Amino acid sequence: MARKRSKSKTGTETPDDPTSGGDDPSSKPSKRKRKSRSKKKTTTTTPKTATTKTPKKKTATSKTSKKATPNARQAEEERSAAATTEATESQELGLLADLDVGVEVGDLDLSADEAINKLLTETAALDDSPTGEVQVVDIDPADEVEPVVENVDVDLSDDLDEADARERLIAEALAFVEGEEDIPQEASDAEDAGESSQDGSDLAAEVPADDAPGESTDSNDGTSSEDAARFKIGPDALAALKQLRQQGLTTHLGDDVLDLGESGTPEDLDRLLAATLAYSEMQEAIYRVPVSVRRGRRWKGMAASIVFLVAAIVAVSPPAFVLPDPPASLTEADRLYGLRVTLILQSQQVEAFRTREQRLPDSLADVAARLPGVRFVKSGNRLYQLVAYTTAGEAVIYDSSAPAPEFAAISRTWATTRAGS
Amino acid sequence: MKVLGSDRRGLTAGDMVIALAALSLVFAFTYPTLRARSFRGLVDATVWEVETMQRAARGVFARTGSWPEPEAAGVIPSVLSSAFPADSALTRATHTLQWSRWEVVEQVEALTAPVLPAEADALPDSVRARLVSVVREVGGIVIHSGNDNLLAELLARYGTDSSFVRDTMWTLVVEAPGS
Repeated sequence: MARKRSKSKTGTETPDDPTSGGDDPSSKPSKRKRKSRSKKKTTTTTPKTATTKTPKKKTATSKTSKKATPNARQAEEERSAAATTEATESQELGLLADLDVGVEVGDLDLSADEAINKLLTETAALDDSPTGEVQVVDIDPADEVEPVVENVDVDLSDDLDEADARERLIAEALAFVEGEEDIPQEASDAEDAGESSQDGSDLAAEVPADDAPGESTDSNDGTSSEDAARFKIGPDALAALKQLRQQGLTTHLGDDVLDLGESGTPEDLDRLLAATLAYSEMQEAIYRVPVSVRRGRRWKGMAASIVFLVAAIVAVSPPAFVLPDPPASLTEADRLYGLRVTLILQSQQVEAFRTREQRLPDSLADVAARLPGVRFVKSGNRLYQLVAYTTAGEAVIYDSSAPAPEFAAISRTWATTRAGS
Repeated sequence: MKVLGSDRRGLTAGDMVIALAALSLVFAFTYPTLRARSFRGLVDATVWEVETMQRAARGVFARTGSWPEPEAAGVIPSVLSSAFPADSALTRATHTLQWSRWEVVEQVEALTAPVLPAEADALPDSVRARLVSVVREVGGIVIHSGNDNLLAELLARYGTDSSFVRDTMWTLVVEAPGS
């Protein structure tokens, strides 16, 4: 495979990347010939740049169509061939008959990722519908040459629709690059004007000549060696291409076809391809989540909030029908009653002791059972008092000489109960 | 461009939040009823233990003529251990059982022999009954609990004629059968 060198849009010459499907259209006519399976005519306009060797910044518009990228590359190559034929007439031209595809390539010194990211932002604003006509605009203020609009009909083959063809091209490009040598950038400037057959001269033997109408093959033999030295694939573009291939993006074009029209350098093509593929992925990711899901989340959140609020209200102040019958609770009267019964029961222990011993006990420790919270006060050999306190601190006294009427009533009730049990 | 719908299956975060909110609402409505049922279960279990101990103590009294010896709270008398075979302790999470015993003094009438007059034609003196103090024992089942509602439920179930509440204790006086 003869080596080719294509001039980048900044004026630097980079090796031609055959996988991009096209050479620098501004450098030489595309000689790459492919087996045509279908024809596509695309009308493009290319400017005739002035004789300048300074790096230029060209605007390029990347247009996507419904065809695969290889078709665009083929079309681009053919258009490049036609443009290059014009450009070779002027020795001092940079032959940067780049198509204005609407995207500023910018500084090609950027790394592959940076270039791709830049292209992504710019490509996102582009109109996807191909117009079939590309207008090249030279934005270099230093360029005093008025661009000449020229319509060039090229035939685009879609043989690159097939995956195996794309794979083949990519493999060829990678194999070509591996043994490539760097060619000084200064030599490329001097040889710009002399580039007559740039595209596909090294591939001319692989593709029938009748598939590339409008191409001039007269200068193929004479400039093949020069072309090999002039076209060079930059390392950034190669890295980007390799990454694309590893990610499978080179075979994941789907229905989106990158139609670059009049192609730029292979490096530009790679970047534009990557940008378009990334844009397609981004669009797919955006539209993956249906709008209805987002709306559904809102009403679900509102409904959940309302239900939580109702649950909190019911928990704090439950309605009557939710509450069951309340359990029994102790009252002060119940506690006072229990206190008096305790004193009566304790007095029974003292009376039992006196009945057996015929005397009063000296303390409650002498009796058989002692109830908690009761004090024994002996006021003589025959009289005593039992004292207990309520929860409020009030003292309740049981006087053995004259018990209170409440104690008598309780005693009668319990005696009656015991008699009946 | 073709709109790709989400093909995720299963519950989303919104569905989980709604389910959680619904569960919280159901819990708020049912929690008071569940708590009341739980308390009823506790009361029934405590009453069962009291009745078991009372029945066992009365059986011992009927066999031996005396009540079991009193024990500390949570300690089951040996003669009553058969009533609680799977549990040697009377300590529960909500309450503690205790067997107690007290003495009570009752005044009973005691008939005395009549006094014959010295003269044959004199009328005999009236027979007067004497009140005699008789000491007997009664048993007691005490429930120690800090749950006033439980003590109140026991007091309401057994009545104030045979039980009373003092501080954190509910006491049931167990009488001998037929006494």
